Amino acid sequence: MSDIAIFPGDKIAAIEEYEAGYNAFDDGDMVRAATVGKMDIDKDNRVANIKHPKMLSIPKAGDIIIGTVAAVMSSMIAVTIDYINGKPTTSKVECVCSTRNIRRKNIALVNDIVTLKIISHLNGTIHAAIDEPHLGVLFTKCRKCGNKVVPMRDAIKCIECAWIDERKLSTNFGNSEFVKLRE
Amino acid sequence: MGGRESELVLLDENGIRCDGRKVDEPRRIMIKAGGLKNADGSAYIEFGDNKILVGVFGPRDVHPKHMSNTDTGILRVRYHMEPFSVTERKNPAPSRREIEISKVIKEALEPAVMLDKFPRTAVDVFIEVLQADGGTRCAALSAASVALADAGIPMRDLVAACAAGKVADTVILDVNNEEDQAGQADMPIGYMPNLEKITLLQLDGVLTPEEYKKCVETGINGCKIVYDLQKKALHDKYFGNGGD
Repeated sequence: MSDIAIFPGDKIAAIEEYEAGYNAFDDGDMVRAATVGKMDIDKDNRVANIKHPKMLSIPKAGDIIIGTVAAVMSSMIAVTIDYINGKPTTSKVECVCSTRNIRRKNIALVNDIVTLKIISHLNGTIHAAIDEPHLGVLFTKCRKCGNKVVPMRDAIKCIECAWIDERKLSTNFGNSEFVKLRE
Repeated sequence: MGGRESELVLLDENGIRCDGRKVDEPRRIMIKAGGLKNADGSAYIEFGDNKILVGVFGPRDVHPKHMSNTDTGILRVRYHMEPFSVTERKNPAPSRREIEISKVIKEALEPAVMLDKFPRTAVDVFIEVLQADGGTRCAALSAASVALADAGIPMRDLVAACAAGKVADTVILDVNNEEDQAGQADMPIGYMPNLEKITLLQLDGVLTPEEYKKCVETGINGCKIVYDLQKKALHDKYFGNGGD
């Protein structure tokens, strides 16, 4: 990685040599920087990137997010993003997660805190996946009485009223307290 | 032609202006990137006696939702003058002039910012004029551009802005408040130096075609001076000792 400071609009390569990667764009002739940072040239794949020290509040494909379920629809859930790769974000952007292929009555309900993996940005929407063991519900409460719940395989049981509900639970369910996030 | 009658000598026989500058000399400019902890990006500019603070938030969720665009992110700019920024108290409610300058700055920044990667989101730019002395729109535009770069918003180029004008039949660089009030013409210019594109050009006054060309050239030269200072501000923050 070059130590030279790069500013938006600076020429970093010719389009014949390299493709524009992260934080770079081509103007039809040259590859130019789009942010302040340091040049990071990938000579194997012929891609010119710029490394910027700040992370934007929009997740990229492959990022793990934690968020609050905002809406539950017949074949997808909408989640408001609160953390990206463990770092808090205030942008409150939403992603959608398809639940069509999961054979379960409830995947997650509104106000549950879930962890998801971002798979793509498609048609102006951020798409996420929930079908891995570490993905799913991290924190929820009893939908009947609002008390604490304990996990039972792929369901939860209220410790007060013994109500049992289905969820797609994460392997990390119950490991963290999200009371503040819920407020 | 144009300007008001005034006792003030705007340009003396030696080519020295009312504040002691030469015709092609800008005012003292100081730009600092960062400084606001809670904003995603920020900048502070002192452009002569103008003092302006800019905060940038985003990309973030759009409220109300119907304002969002499914194809691209949107840029929202609020230019606001503090009640104490001018000699007589200014009503803090947005005036017609502030609404117009907000629009003008937004349209000057739009060719530079690349929001197509962030559909359904908004980038908010808040400009607070703490002290005004003529040429606030250029100073605000320059600072907003640094604040956007500080926030990490992808940009095609930084937008540097500087005004040129005409005083005593002479084309001058960086019009101050007295020259703006009593001069013959004022032309704020926003310019992307790497792409060599003008993003803002307004003209208040009357110029001949030759004067117009010279005014644009002078303004662009001023923008290049501002651009070097914008780069220095970002360099100091990210690669020097100016980090916050």
